[in-house]
Amino acid sequence: MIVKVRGILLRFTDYENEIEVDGSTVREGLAALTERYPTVGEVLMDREGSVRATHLIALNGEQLALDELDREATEDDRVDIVTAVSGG
Amino acid sequence: MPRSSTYEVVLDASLFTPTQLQTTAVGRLAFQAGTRWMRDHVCSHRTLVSEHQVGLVLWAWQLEYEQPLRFLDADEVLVDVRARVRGPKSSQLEMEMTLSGPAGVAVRTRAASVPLRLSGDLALSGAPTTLPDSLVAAFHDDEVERSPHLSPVRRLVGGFERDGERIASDTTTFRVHRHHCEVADQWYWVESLGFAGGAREEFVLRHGRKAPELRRAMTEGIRRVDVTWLRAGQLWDLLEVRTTAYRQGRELAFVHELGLADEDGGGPYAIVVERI
Repeated sequence: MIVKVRGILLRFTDYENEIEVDGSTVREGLAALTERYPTVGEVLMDREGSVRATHLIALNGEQLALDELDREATEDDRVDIVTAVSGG
Repeated sequence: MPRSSTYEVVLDASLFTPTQLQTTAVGRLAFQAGTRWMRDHVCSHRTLVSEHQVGLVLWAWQLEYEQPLRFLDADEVLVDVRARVRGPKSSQLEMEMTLSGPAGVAVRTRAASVPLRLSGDLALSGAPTTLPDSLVAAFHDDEVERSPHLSPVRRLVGGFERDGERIASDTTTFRVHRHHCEVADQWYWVESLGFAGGAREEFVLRHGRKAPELRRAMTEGIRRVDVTWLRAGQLWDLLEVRTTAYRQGRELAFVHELGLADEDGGGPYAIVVERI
């Protein structure tokens, strides 16, 4: 699947904005992403390993709830990570 | 009496158009003024973020041009800024600034921000919250107002649609680059005034021959700007600015809707209303 990363997160992926990752579910794709870019994991996940509420995950444009991350994803699917708001 | 911070700013040519202070220059001075008030009376912006884990996101801003001020009129202006906590649950921080020159108040701005509880990650991501009690306590009684700040933007746009005459609509695209951003790689809100202004000038270029009155937007300068932000633009976003011009009596108005060119279903980022 292709994980699409935007603005605020780009500096944690070495400014790659479309990243091809392996995995058969969205969760596996995110795990592959954070393995490749460990700082993304620190930003995206809380201490329990759950996606922080300040980030939204979408599969082909459909926003997923945290309990929907086990949805299947093929190599042609697109996963978007959108940071809800940022302060500072 | 609400506390103020008052100081002088030396003027240079980069702050001006031929007729007035640039909207983006006023925005930068207003942000700096609000930051200074917070440092003087509550805590610095850095401390707010790093120690209190609170960020502030602007959601409404108004700019009124009052007395004339051109580059050759003065060497400096006097900045005066005050702040209030607003809303029944202390959910807004309002900053009011005036810039005064030889003829009196040249511009007046009012900004309303919403606090964010930062999640503590390196991206400074956060979610809307109320201002923590520890920070509200730093404000005097007359700096806390229980009624909320209300943005006039939706009412204005509805009024132009209902009572005004639509001149034309058009779109202009821009990409958000790093020099448009603040520390977290999201757009610095002032730059959205620049995108709107750029879209207005493109509009005058494209439609000025058919509707010569549009050129007033260049010759007379801007009288008032009202903005509301709904989401933040981010580094490398391709923005589409949808601009509609209206005439209403002698008034000329430009409504700019800023959003992603590749619409993601989340709606516009910001609406900027410029009145001439």
